[in-house]
Amino acid sequence: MKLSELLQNVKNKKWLLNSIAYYHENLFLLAASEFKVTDKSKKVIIVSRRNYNEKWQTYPSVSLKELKDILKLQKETSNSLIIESFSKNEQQEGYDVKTITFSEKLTDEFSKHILIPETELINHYYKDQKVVIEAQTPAGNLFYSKVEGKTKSAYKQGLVSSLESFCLSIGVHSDVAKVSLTQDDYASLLNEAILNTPFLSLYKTTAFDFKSSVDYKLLHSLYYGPLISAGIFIAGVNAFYMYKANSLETTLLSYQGGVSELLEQKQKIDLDKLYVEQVLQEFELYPNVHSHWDIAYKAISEGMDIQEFSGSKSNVTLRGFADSASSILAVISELPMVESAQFSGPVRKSGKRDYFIMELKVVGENEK
Amino acid sequence: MKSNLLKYKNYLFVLSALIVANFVLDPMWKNIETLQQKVYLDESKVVKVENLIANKKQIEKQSGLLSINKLKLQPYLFTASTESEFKLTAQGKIEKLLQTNNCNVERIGWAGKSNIEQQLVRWTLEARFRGNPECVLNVSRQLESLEPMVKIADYSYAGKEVSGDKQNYMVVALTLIMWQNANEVAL
Repeated sequence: MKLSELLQNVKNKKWLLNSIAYYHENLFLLAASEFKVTDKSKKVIIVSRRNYNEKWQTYPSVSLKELKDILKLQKETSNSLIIESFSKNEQQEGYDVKTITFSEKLTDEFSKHILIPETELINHYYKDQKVVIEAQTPAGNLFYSKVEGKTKSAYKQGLVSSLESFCLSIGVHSDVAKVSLTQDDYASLLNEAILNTPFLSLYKTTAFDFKSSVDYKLLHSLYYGPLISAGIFIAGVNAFYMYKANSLETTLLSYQGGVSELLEQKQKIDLDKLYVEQVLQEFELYPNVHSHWDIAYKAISEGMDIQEFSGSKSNVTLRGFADSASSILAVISELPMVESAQFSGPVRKSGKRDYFIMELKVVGENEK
Repeated sequence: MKSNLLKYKNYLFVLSALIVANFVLDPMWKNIETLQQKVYLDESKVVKVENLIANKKQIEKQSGLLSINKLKLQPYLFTASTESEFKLTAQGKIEKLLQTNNCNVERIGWAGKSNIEQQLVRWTLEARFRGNPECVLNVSRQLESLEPMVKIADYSYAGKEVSGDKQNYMVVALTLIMWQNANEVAL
């Protein structure tokens, strides 16, 4: 949604009408479609025609930039609030400028308010319809019409004593529709004009002294407030953690002497423990093998002539002669320290005797 | 100059707020994260230190027990700070044992070493000798009861016919294992 659409939606809410008043000597509320005197100040003021002057001026042979510079200068030098609008004038190769100047009294009294000239609202209401209006306003009967794109308005007084004389004075054709509005009708018209006019169009026809209306201190406080709060919070948290870190460091320093000694001791313990464990592991890896002689003794006792007796912690090999190889195997197998026994290769006959190689698995001893 | 400053005072207010936010508050905010990390680490360090101090007696007790165990192990290892010192001692012991038992030494040689731990080295010695059963059995028994400890990793006893006769003659090849304590000084 565009910003202008959003603002338009907000503006269309009827409750906003409560912030709008009509001004002529007094403030009048328009919310109930009638002019009701009020003492309460409102932010948006519809100003009666008596409190401002309307002036049309043609600036021939100027560029848009030059025109804008001129209008800016006029705005800066004026003591009163002014509204300037311009349209291109092809014939003069320049611009027609409409200047609405609010009275100094009004400017002083409502310098912090948003001012809307009532004739501009009528202009927005009727847009390009050709009408002549006679409206009863709190400031008197007001005549209004639009001729060749220029709004004309005057109060019923002096020479302009009737709608006809007003038409004659501004050069409106007698066929143009004439509208007569009572005060209540006029209040309704202003309300509807406020509600129906697009926000940007309405904005262009309002006078507002931004510099005197805006409280810069308040604006700055909008971001300085959170900034200072965040600053205090961050400084507080920093201080808290710095204090905590400092106290922890002090605690650590107080332990330092004893701790380094203990750590050294702990390190030494770990090294010693590893050393002792590894020495014991090494001893376990190499168990005693002298007991393997029991196997050789048993074999010799059973009549074996050993040619070779070799082995390691869990394997033993016997090579030699015997009258009966199988009887030797049977006896050896029964030894408690032998887990398994078998011939390696064939048992050969050498004369009357058997020649064989026997391989044994020895039960592992727990040397611990 | 002053009038210019006053003219742009609102811009200066905004600018100063941005500077404060960017160059003061943001670094301070980042500093909080660093401090949080430091506090967290210090807290865990304090907890560890306090636990360590609480276990002081246990550590001392453990240290005492380990010292005793180390002392008990010391006689079983060859204590020598250098390789040559170890070899001299160990080989001398083996040769003396073989001579004492009337064995004929053919060859004795070192087959290698392994560094088990910073101060523990395992050595392998290969010995080849001849002798009668008395020599062989005595050597086998006495080797395994030696202090410092000597273990037989592999053995091979061969003869023409070993039948239990004292006159049998055997050729023996042993692979022996010994351990050197490289750091300790002999008591």
